[in-house]
Amino acid sequence: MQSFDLKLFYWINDLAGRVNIMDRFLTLMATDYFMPVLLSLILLGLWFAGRGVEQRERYQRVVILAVVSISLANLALFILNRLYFRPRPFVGHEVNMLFYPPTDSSFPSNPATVAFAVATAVWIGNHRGGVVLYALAALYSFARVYVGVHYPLDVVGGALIGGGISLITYRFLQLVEPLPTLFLKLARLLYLA
Amino acid sequence: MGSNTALQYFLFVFVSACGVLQVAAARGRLRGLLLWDEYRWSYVLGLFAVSASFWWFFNVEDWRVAGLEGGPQLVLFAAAAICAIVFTIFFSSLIKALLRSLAKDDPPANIARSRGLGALEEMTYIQAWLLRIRRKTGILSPKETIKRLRRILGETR
Repeated sequence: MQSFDLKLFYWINDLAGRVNIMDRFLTLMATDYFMPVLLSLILLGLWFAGRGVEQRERYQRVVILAVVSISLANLALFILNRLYFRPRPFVGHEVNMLFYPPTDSSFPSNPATVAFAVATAVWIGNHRGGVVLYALAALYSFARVYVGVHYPLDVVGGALIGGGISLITYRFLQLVEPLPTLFLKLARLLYLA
Repeated sequence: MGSNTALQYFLFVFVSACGVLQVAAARGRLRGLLLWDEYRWSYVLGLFAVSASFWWFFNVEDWRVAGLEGGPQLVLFAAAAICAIVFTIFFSSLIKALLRSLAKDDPPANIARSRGLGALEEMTYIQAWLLRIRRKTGILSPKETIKRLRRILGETR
């Protein structure tokens, strides 16, 4: 499995350094700022973008689900990073590095976990929007392998963990149902939902 | 991580969040949150703010090096987004008050009853709060006070 992972990593990472515009674009996609800010701004916009009472409430429930999922995904990452450490691809292998070398565990990919948690949360409430966010999350994950900071298995693992956490959070929010509704009622009193 | 990076990140998020709020308010028909009282121009204004802030940030900052950690990034994002919401609420109310484009003292009954963001389809955030306070306290608006005074004066003549 690990040798297949390494082969796939080289297949993707060997593309780096060939086409300058591709390198610049995928390095930008892989940064710690671009996708996290873009995904968060989409959630901010979603809160206000619903037309009419029903659509607005549906979108706002999606945002609540996404925010809780991100929090739980970060908690899961914190625990997993303490239990298991996988060295980064550039440790012990020759890699086309287009990025700074992170020092934390390679598995699971933190960016993939969070991006897929957000995408799954949005997909639950709005399939079309969710597909767009899945595409962005996939691009983010691919870019992290391309620039040489993750193995493909790291991002696949991250995607499964992130998506799974969103699905569990969805069920969890149904169990604690009066709470999200109460939160929305309070925000409505303040003209914020 | 330098404080300069943190400031640049804050400004980047603030401007892009203001832009996103304009686009979202135009899409959600929340006229009370628009800085420009026309949906099409609000989309243009919002998309321009988002694109300009992204272009600026990724040109002044070297994003291939280690920057802000996750924690400070989250705190700065939340602070900038809250500032953007406060800015939008305040300036949309101020602009509308100056232009008097939404200065209705008595909004339609269905609007007056609607709660939450729905109220901002026809009035600004500050108008919505003033209306609620007047209803709760029974205090009349300046226009209503003048109307009543005129009626009383007319009756006494």
